[in-house]
Amino acid sequence: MRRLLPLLTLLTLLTWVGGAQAKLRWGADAEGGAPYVFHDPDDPKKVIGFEVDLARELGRVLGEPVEFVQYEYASLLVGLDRGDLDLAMNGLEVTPDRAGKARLSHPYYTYRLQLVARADDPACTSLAMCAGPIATLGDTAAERLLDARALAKKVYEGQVEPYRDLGLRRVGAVLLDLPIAEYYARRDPLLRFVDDPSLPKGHYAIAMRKADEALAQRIDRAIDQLASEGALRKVLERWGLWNADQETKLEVGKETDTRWTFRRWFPLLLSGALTTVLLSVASMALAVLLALPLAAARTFGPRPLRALATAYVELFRGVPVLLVLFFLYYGLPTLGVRLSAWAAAVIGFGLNYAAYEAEIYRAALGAVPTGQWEAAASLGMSRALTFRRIVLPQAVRVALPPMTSDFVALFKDTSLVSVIAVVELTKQYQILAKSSLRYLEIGLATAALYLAISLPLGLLSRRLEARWSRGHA
Amino acid sequence: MIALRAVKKTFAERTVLAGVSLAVEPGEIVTITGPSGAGKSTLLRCINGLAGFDEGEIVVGPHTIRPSADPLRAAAAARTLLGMVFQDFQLFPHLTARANVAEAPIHVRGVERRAALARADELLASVGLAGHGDAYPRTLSGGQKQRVAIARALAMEPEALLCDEVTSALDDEAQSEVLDVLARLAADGMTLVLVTHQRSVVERLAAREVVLRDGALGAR
Ligand SMILES: Nc1ncnc2c1ncn2[C@@H]1O[C@H](COP(=O)(O)OP(=O)(O)OP(=O)(O)O)[C@@H](O)[C@H]1O
Ligand SMILES: [Mg+2]
Repeated sequence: MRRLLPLLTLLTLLTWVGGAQAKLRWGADAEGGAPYVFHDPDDPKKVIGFEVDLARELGRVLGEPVEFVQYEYASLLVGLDRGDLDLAMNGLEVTPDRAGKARLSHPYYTYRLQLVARADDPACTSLAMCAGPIATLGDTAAERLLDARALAKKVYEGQVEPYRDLGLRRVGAVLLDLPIAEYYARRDPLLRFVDDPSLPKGHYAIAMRKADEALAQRIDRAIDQLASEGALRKVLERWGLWNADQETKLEVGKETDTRWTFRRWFPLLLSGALTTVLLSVASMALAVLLALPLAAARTFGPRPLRALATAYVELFRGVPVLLVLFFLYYGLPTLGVRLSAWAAAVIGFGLNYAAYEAEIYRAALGAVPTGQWEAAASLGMSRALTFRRIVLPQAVRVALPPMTSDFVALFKDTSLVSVIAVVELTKQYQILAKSSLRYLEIGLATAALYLAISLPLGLLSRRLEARWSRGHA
Repeated sequence: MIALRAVKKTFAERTVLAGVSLAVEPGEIVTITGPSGAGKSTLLRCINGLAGFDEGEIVVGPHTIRPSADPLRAAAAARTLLGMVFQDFQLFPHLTARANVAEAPIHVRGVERRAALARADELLASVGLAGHGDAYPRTLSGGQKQRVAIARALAMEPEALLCDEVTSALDDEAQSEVLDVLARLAADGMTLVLVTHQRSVVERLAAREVVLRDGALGAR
């Protein structure tokens, strides 16, 4: 007990110190988050936005500072549960799903979904009339609406890229909350706001832990006070967000009901798995196709060809595939080459993995002793015949195991393509888990799907290896 | 059958063959001995184009080989009359014994597959390996492997066999198996040029022995 005493004192002290700084930790994502919360272009160390102003007003009314914590948008509710945050305010729409997971405050803003099309595309007069996939952000009311209407969608992580790809004709239209459209698309002469009265409205609210009911009631009162004082209106006006919608009270909870049942998320997960498989197979096929001439050039080619092939291999082994994907998808349009996301993904992985496969083939060819070439030559076999009948079969056997493990690696690497808006298995998991908060069950299902593909692959390779090693000297 | 005339061969700075001349009559059995590194293998390989030479000429039957940047091509015609057997066998590991023997007849000569395989079985039987046609090389003993290699060379119907230390990697019993096969070939009129360092080979085959030393050939 005597030993415990100093420890207890220390603990009490720490608690006291922690308690003294009773700041409210407010989580939001400032990464490209205009006009909600974002880094001031003139002073990037500063975060600005209408929610920053609102947080300041809340702090004033509560008599307690509200401190900004950078937190990934899709993880905000998890951040509350983990205790990293006290408040999450970041354009969170009121949905039954969210209301089930967190305590939502009174709304502070009434949003509407804004459809944006290209100025030179007169056909797009409503959501149903727009051609091609509709761009949106993951885990938003807009995405859920597209799902509910079974429209082809393309899900982005940032707010700039959807409008950019719209200008590049990669998508037919963009559906996002009005504040985003106001900030990113209003002044773009290539783009046009489409008035579609069928699009729903909804509310933004502050999310808190259900256990923090006392805090929640203080926040509710503070929001009501800011609304009646007119301070809320001032903040919204400052950001050009005040409109008639804000004056009419909407019935809370009118949004489409979306319960995350197994039957709803599993098919989506399966489609992600299919994307992953197709992407891996197509990329590997391209990689093998490119790697064969590369390895041949490095092994048998004349000096300049060999140098070129070596340069290729070193380049692609030294550059992250993520960079290659970004370059192909976002960089090439500057040069007038517009690749679809799928083409960019397959070409990117194909180019990258070709470098690794070429090295495998080169090593495999080198592993066949020169004595084999000489024995074949002494029998009158030409170089081409020797390569095809004697060297290649032996090299394939050497190359197969590393090729299989490369394929499994590629299979997992495909999860990188979410950066160019292809939704494969891992991305689908993130989207589903974050919107349903069922990290565990969906995660296990995702892992099971990955294993269901990679395990048989490993088995197959071991079988082939065993079969072909019958002839090993 | 085979004649070397003033053949010179230099690796970088080291002269390995300094004007070597040698005549081998049809049906003759010649062994080349000499210290390690003397250039015995190099000499043998010049005859079928696995190595090139810088000066002189080599005649094989009606074909003459001259120095060339592409020795394999220069010796292509001569090679049709020559078989070669190596110290380390160099069987094709992914093919059965029968397929090893039939590979070149089928794919170089265009012999019909079934006929080539039947002929391969005959050749395997003639070297004492009847019934081993389906075996992969790794399952065979050293002596068996070398006999498959001889059968493989014979399948292309050469007039002479070049043998580089073909018994050196084998134990006594396997050596005598292989030597028996070579002796029978010799008795049937096959021309043999053997590089070896083993007296037993010279004696068993009652061969003419030449010694390669300091880049030149001499009698023992
Ligand atoms: N490709 C090559 N490049 C350079 N030097 C070589 C090459 N091949 C052989 N030599 C050299 O030429 C010389 C003769 O080699 P070779 O293999 O013909 O000798 P050998 O008489 O067969 O020797 P051993 O009895 O050890 O088999 C050696 O000194 C060897 O190092
Ligand atoms: Mg030698």
